[in-house]
Amino acid sequence: MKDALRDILGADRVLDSSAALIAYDCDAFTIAKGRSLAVVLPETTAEVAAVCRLAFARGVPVVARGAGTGLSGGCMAAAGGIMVATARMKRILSVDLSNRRAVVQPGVVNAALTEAVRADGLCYAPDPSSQFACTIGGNVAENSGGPHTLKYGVTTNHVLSLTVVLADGSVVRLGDDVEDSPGYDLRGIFIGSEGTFGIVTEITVRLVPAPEAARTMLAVFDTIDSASAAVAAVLRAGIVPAALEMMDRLVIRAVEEAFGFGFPLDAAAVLIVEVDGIAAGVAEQAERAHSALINAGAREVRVARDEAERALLWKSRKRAIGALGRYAPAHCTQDGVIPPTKLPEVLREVAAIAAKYRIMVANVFHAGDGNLHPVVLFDDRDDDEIQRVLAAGAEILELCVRVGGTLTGEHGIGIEKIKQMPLLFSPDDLAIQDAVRRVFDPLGLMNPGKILPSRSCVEVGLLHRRAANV
Amino acid sequence: MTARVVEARGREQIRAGVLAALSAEEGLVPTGRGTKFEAGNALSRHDLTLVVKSTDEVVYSPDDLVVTVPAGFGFAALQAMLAEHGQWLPLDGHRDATLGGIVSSGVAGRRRLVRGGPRDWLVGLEAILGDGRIVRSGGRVIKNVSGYDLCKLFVGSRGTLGVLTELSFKVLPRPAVARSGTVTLPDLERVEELRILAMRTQPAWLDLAVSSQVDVEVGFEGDLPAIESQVAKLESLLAEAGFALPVWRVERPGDLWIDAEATGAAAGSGEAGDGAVMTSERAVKATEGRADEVARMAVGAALMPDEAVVVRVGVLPTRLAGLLEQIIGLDSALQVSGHLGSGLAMVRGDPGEPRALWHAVRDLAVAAGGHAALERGPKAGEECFAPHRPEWEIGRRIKQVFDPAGILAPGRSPGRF
Repeated sequence: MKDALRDILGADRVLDSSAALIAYDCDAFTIAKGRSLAVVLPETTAEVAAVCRLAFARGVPVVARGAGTGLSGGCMAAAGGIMVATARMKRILSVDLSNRRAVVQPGVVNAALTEAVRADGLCYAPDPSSQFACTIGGNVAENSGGPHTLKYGVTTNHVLSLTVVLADGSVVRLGDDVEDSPGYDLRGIFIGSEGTFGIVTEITVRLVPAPEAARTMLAVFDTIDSASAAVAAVLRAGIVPAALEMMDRLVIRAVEEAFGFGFPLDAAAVLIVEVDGIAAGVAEQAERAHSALINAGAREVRVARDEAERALLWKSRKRAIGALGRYAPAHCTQDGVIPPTKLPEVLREVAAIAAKYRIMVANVFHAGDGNLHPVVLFDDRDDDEIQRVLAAGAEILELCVRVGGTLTGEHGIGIEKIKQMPLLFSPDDLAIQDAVRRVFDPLGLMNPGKILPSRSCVEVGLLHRRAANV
Repeated sequence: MTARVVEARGREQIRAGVLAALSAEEGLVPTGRGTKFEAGNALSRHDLTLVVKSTDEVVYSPDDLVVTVPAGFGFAALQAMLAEHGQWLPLDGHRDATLGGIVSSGVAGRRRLVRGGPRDWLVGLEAILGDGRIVRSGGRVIKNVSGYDLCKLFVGSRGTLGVLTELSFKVLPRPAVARSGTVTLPDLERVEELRILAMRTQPAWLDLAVSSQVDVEVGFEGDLPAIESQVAKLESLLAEAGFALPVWRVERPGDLWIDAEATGAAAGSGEAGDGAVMTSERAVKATEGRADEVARMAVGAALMPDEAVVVRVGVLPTRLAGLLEQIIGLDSALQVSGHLGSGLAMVRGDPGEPRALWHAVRDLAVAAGGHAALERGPKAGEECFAPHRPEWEIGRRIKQVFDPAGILAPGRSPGRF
């Protein structure tokens, strides 16, 4: 098998040493690991197709991987499978400024794409917090979002077409560079399919005008309830904020220690509110947001005075989870979504769950769209603590669904949340999803054991967790 | 023999309708108010029209930015309800349409330039499949990647995958102010140049209408200071390039349909008008100063045209003006309206040879790297969508999952299944 792969790609782009296989055994969901047969580094659609044809002929599973920043085990290695790493597919193939489209390979880093068109006043809007590492291919697999999704949408709103290699090595184009192409929205169902439908090898993205100006402010609150009410107040003022991010007391402490922006350590919560758009309108939007926040009970509102201050404020937010690392050897970021109005009640329950399982939980919240990231801090050398973390995570997910939310807003189901899928979906729902999957991948070779529950994949997940803890 | 018409109100009645058609092996076509009924390939079977009526089951949480309605709920009634809370669903649509129809047709109007279309606002659904199973996808929150995004499959599926019963949409605060301006040109020669200039500002829409002249309409929507600066910037760019300045109009912000009698929020219940399925054009008057063609396109060309042949075309935006010049060259009596900023247009005419005209327009669009669809015209025996795409074969297998017996609007999809 490996010889056949080397025939296609050359020896230097087929990795099978122990060290290499370990490096690719999991993504950022480190408690679930697998062991591939080999890792390959194709550079073209044709090479990816050849690899898949070979794997298909021999019934070998295939897993695609971008930067491995995924947080749900989406590219955990399949035992004995071929890991297709897109690290050598990093080219921006074309940029069409007049039509505001670009064609990129899947390994292009998200931030690099925006950087490439910034000088022309354009950008690629979806900007996950991991954007300096994560790739467009990974973004497509997860339908990634980020802090600006309330105003700007998520990946699926910004991708026009995909070139996809299916499990049998066939290549098909989904969607079109032209709008409204006839046929079902297969591009739309492929986005967010977490690598289980095929491997994307070219992506046509939409480019949008970069905002002319932005104003970012920090609002400080003495209670979670008032912070939550303030979110509603900003929306009722007719503002669609570019971002609306909440951090709780523990996160505030961590980022202040790490970055020294000047966050108040005695606040229950802070809101980072950003308005952007046409330069002439931003000042007025900012004033209205400022008033709404104060009237809703903000203790103070500080507006970032210049680009440096604004950048520091955003750095504090985007690196908040890393900053929490100072409090524990390991952390695990949950990803539930709740109706934003349920936040105070949910955070109270999350605190109760944390107390019950004797773990520390800090909370970051995309307040505009309800995406909650409880960050569980723990010692990953302590098996018992790991079990408590998993149990707490499951209860938090159940809580999100119970209050009318969903299991995941950005990170995907992967392997992490497979067991909770029946909380959201009936047996018929799951059967239909499985049937759709089999249209694309009849033999189940593409990233098996992800997204959909089946008896075997839960076992596989447990097996790998046990192996990881040995 | 014409199809029977049966009304269904609520999930259980809809399901019963589907199961009855399944056991009788009948071709069932769901509809709301029929405003897009003729779109698609000719139906290979049509025994039953299932008219989906509304119920009162609305769940609306303004502070959560999400609303859930029955599929038969009226578009106008929904927008009126949202307007009471200073919100809107940023989609253009026919005032008589139902949300189920808007989703199933997948057609977006002029605001697609910055707002997208139904696929970008639908966050959850429930539907009855062709085998009677109930399926749910998405949810009642505006950010969700749990499981596969089946919602996307249903948008634009024209009733071929299932009968929608319930839909959830993301909503937003309504914009404060809107302005639009029309630049009139003698022909299409400088339209692409005008498009480039207009796109150096940030219009909310950019449409055109072609008759004996060409009217290009630019719209701005948002907060007043931003709008004023965009208007000024556009005027400066146009003046510098030797274009006439636009004739500006104040628009009602968030106005999503053209209705001379509208005095603000449309009143009424969820029911989209009376029970009759629409089969003829409703007279809609343009607001003062706007050409009828532009008005038609504004609502996603949802108005029923009078003409015998209606073709939709799509190309990259930079190529639209050139394509339309070629199309008008076929027959100067053709009426054309389009979303210049998005590369989409609708061509309408009463040619002596309808099939030849459809083929000619189709071939021009495909040669320009785009696509074409025959919306009305000689459909018998025709594949009404071009060019053929390999992904339609995947679509055929998807259809088999959702409608194994092939009872839902059979024949209608691109690929004629």
